[in-house]
Amino acid sequence: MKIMVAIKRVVDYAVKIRVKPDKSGVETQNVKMSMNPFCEIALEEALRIKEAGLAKEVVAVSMGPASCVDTLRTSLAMGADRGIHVEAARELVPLTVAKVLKRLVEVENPGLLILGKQAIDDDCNQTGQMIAGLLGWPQGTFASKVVLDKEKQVATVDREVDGGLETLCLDLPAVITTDLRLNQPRYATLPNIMKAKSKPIKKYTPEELNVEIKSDLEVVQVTEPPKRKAGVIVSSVDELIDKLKNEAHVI
Amino acid sequence: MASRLLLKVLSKRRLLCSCTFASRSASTLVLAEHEGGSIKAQSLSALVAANCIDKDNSVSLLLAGSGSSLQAAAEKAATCHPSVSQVLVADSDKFAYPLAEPWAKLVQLVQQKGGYSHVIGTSGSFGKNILPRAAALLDVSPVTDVVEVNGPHQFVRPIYAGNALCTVRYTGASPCLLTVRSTSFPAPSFSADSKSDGASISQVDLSTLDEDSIGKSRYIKLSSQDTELPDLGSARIVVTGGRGLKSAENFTMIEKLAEKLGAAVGATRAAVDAGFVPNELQVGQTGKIVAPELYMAFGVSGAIQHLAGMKDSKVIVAVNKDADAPIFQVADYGLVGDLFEVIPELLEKLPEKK
Repeated sequence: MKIMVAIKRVVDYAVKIRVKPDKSGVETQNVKMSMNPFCEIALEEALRIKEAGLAKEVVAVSMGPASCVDTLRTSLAMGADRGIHVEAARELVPLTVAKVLKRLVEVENPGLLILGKQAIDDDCNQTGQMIAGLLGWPQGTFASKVVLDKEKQVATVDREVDGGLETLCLDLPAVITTDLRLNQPRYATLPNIMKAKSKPIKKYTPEELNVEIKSDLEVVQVTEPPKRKAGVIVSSVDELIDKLKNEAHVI
Repeated sequence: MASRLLLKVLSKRRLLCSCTFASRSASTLVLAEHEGGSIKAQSLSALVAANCIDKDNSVSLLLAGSGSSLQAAAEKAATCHPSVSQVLVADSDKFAYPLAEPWAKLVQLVQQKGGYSHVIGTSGSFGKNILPRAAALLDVSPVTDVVEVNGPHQFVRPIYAGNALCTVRYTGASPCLLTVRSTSFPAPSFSADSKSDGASISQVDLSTLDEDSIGKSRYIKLSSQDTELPDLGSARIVVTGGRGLKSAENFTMIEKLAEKLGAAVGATRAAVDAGFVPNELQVGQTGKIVAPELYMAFGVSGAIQHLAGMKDSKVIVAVNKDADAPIFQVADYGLVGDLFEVIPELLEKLPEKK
């Protein structure tokens, strides 16, 4: 079985972002970029499944400008076998990403498609669900545990939901989106980083895949959230209770 | 007290519905969740958002499930909010559990029959799981996690863990699909309107429901914590513990304090990862988003990702040994001290809950 993993290059999770003064977006020039943490977890899960002998190949896919290739190289260094770069000049909406992924799935025929549940830049949490809908595949989103049964061709997925942990059984092929507690991703070791240089990355354009780049969403502006007014440091529990009761009126 | 709350809700609604304009009347499909024969409180937020889109919005509420609790929920739904003009009930074993595959097909079916201008759900795990799949089936881009409605097709949503707000305009064909944050569209509690007859209730004809992709997923079980404490998503007070609690046993101090205050218990990702508490208590960018009247954080450092889940709380209290902890930058009242001393003192000195 082949596993396809979609990965996104995003502003590093530890960076304190700045909104551009012209409100057109968030400043990404000269800012540290990394693989989306949820995508790292997705890739790690795929690698573990392969290492358990349940899959033959892990293919990493990324879409965007040339800089995506850096992230794909990282995925190859972590252990992916091949990379696919779909070149696109600008940010693609999840629906378009899902359509491109659908075409790639038709080309590659994976038995499992794993994605991070959300990208930490747009926080959309949509792409996995959308590609599953387009493919008509079952979906296990917000996965905190995945167990594959190769014989029965099913995946048992524990999902983190509002009410607790939900367990589903999905027929393969399926789409899984990863939540934080699924696994701890490995670091790419130096020998693997060197090996990754010779692993292939195939390039496509959306046109070659017959996907029209259009968007039904327009960004009007990006602004900073309202700032909270500064608080005070209290010196005792008595003072705290007094403030909560008589100043804030919350108890 | 009730009138003060109503005033707060109304003034917040004015803030949220900032744009007045003449528009073709909207017609909205709201996806509602139900449990034990009642509509879940969070689903009512979708109704509030529908009103923000258009105050004359004609809303159809969609309920799915099977059996008598579904029909009981439908009866309650018919009088739960004045804007509901119709309750659509999809009664089938396929909807016994909230699986995305049948639900997305259901939304597609109902949309194709009803031609709604908007389809709205709340952005809890149900809405987040189902709505984008339905959007793909309808070939539209959804707008998820909306915190403000600026117009029938213009919305504000948080990005970068809420460190920026993005105003987007939907320029596609109908329907416009949304999930809304329930903390941003608080639902006032309406008593059933005894004067009106309530909305009409009709059963959705499922004979043409596309079976493809249904049946490929099976619900096994839900493991959840049994608790008497209020629901985290809607509690008036939340008491959260972080890594500073050091162990699951110590976390009972948080629970005791919550009990004393009539509060819900929350936790940081670190506390959940360390196994102190189950995942459904996690507050943060990828956990629950809460906006209670009072949020008390004990042993919480205040990482960006945690703040994303609670910075809209009205009053924030932080107790931490480290005076440099980032949490103090958002706290209204900060106490630099040892939580193992502070919590027992609070338990002793706090007034009994009203």
